[in-house]
Amino acid sequence: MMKTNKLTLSLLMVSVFLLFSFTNDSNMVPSDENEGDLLVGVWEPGHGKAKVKISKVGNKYFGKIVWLKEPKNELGEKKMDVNNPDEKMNETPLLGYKILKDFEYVGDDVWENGTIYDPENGSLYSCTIKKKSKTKIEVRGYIGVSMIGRTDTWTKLQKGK
Amino acid sequence: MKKILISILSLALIVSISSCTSYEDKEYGPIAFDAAFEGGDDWLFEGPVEAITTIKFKPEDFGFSKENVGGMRLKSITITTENKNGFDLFDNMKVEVSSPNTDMLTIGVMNKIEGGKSLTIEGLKESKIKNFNEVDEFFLHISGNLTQELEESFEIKGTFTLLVESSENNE
Repeated sequence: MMKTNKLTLSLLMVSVFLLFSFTNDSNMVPSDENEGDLLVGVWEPGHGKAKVKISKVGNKYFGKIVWLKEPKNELGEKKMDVNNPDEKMNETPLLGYKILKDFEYVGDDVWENGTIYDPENGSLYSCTIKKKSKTKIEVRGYIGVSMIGRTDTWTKLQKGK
Repeated sequence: MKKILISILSLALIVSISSCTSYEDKEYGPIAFDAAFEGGDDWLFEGPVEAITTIKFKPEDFGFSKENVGGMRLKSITITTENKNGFDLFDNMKVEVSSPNTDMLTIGVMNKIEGGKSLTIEGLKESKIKNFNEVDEFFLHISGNLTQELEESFEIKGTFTLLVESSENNE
């Protein structure tokens, strides 16, 4: 009887240990960092004129133009950032230009505190990004108040496409 | 009444002048670093590539304390490569800084590359990152456009010097 009790107690302790081991597994802990990394990859804006590669550096996300549908201007020269009000940037190529800067993942599928640059008019906007699905994000650029702005849907490109 | 008004205005002027911190630029560097474009992959596609390196910010190493730091800008950066092609493969180069506490800023630009195995980019005078005293470490991004595909990695070594505003010994 005594032996049976000891065995039961031992089994119970092992069970409790195993239970805690499994609940402490990293898969059980939601990781905001990994959720935020969904943004990393190559995305195509709604207009389809460019592809933007988003990378993570430190705790922030940055996106640069890696492909242009029309990489050259009407003179057959490489497109430059000619609309930038900052003249020193006018001779900088658009290919490679970082148009998304300083985004931080704030949880709930939202990235904030970043900016988006529109090379077509040389304007810089505050910007918020929201995940719609694993392959769709809503990119909202605005000046001042978030309510007044424009939203575009970007699509994530799969590797090899 | 007029005297009181003048006294109040004078007092306000004195208070505002005394509350302004006067800074002077101190050199932070030269800092040496190693980096590789796009993480040192053995294949680089034509187009935009980037090398990123992490730098600790310790003004104490250069004789001034972080709490007295204001803004920061680049004095100059020199990068060298032992790659057989040198920098002839690039048609421009840009230097940017980002950190967890400050927004990314372009601090140096070279729009025409002469080639060779070494190049120096001067800092943009007007590109200053404010409140650099909040920074413990920062990321130096060196990006450029490769004019052809490379079937090898492209590693660089470099040194840079920053001009860091400090109010030390100015108070």
